[in-house]
Amino acid sequence: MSPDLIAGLTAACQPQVLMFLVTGVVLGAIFGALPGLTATMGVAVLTPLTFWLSAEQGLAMLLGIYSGALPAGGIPAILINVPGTPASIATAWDGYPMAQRGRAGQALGINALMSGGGQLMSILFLSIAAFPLATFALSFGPAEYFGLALFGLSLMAGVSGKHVLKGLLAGTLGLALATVGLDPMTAYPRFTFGISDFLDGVSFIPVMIGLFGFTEVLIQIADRHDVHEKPAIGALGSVFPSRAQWKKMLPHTALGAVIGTVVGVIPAAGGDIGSVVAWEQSRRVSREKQSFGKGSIEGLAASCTAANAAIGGAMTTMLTLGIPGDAVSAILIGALLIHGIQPGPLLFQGNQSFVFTLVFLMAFAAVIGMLLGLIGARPLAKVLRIPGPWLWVAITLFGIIGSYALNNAVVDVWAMFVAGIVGFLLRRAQVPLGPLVLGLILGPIMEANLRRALVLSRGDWAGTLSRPIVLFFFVATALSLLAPLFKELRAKRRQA
Amino acid sequence: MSRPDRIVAAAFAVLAGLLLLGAWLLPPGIGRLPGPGFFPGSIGGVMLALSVALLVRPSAAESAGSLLRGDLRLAGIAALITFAYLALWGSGFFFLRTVLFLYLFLRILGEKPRAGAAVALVLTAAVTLAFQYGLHVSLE
Repeated sequence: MSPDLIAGLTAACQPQVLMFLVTGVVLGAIFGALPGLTATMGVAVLTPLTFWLSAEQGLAMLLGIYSGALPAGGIPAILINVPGTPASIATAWDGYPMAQRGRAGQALGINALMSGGGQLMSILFLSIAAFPLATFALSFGPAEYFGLALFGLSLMAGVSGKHVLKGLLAGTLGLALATVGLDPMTAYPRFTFGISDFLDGVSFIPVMIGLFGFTEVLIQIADRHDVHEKPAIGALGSVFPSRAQWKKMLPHTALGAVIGTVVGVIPAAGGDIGSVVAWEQSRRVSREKQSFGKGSIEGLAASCTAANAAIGGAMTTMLTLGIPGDAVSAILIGALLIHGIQPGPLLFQGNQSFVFTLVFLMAFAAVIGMLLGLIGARPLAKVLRIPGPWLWVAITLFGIIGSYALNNAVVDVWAMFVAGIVGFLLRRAQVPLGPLVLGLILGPIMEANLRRALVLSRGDWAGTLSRPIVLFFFVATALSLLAPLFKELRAKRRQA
Repeated sequence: MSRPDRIVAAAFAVLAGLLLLGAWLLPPGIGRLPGPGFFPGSIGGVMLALSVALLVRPSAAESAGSLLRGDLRLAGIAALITFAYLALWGSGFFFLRTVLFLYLFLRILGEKPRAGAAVALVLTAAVTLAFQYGLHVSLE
């Protein structure tokens, strides 16, 4: 057995690391079970708490939150038809009708088992695919990284839903924010307005806390989602599916795992997209199409598996290429960098044991999350009774103190506040925030690599941008940007 | 084209103009190598083009509905209280300031006085213990 593998396993099995992992899974489950609180918000708000921990302990807690939130998001989706996280929207389509027919326990059991299963299957993919992918990525030069980042940015169009133009505009706003600070090549200050705090650029974590924490608080207050009324939750019954049900679900679980992982691998696409796509594909192949949306265990299994399988896919992209697979992995990149770890192919060369530690931690988190979902569904359902205002003030306070605690800098707190207000205004105008995050994280990668590539080729633009892999990414970028247009044209033709 | 979309397009167009101006004021590149203003300038150009496209392209799918929907007054007061709390950051009395901030926040959200005071005290105590005494972050 490889010494790195043993070292990775040993580090993951340290009692303190496991303690932080369990804490993270429980916290994540609470965040996931409460509608309005998401995995992204949980990871963003609690990242500052991990800076005092070792890299393994900190990442254990954050991965725990990530893994714990997604299955728990299915609990309110099943019990009260309100998805706890965006990834559990499709869970409500079949889970809630099951609960209405007195099969809430079974739906919760399927949610827990398939969520854990989906995570484990995608982690298996990560452990098989990551090393060859990282080895391939080692052949990437700055020009190829520029092409990859450009392709990642072009996916803004895909994740913007109906609001493609606004999504692209949000992406350019993220890119613009990323240019604040010292120029990566000449160290010339840009848009700093003489304020020394801006020389290091816009602090990523406070901005994320503002966009996903404070923005959500303001949205919830404006929409008056105060959750003052306490939802009635009846008896849950048995949580384990029968053998016949297992047989029926397994092909759909496999389909969900494949779709979720593939969607997760695509930069910027996460479990929310994966679960809906998997549910739709599962319906297409099912013999009982008519039962979908009315309490189908096949549909529930496919959507739960896919929502969670996106985790392994997103982590594969993040760890091997240093490109975020979804919003949570974007924040995880920031957390890794603060612990002195640069995600990307070089991580697989110089720090293999750490990669194994992460893989083991993810697997442990999946199992703990599964057990928590099976045993703790009822206590977790009780968190739905916590009054909304208590949550909103807690999120606001943790957001403020967490942003400040990063560098003991008041400017970070203001960055969080401004990002929250801007995020609120953008959300009100139906401008999606996902592309903004993508622009903020991919902008510096894109700019630095393009300019580095041009320096290496002594300003030969044509030579730099016509390398085969770069051209491949350009074609993929063009297709990705044109896809929504073709979709719209096709829809118009159908209507005509 | 809905009014909110026009506002969004106009706001981004202004931002794009500022970005282009800022980029133009930055030093130029050397030879065929781009300078510090190349990237912000390119982003400004793309942003301007997208703003114009949003402005001229009428599409039901892009409609924003109403920007003023929901209880904006309440959200505005919550933001204002937070602003005041942040403006007083570093003026001492962290515990007292924070309890008062949380209490006011809870009250405007409709929480009863006693419950509001209890939650504000517990949360402030938890944060002070965790950050000031646990993690040694100076909150004063």
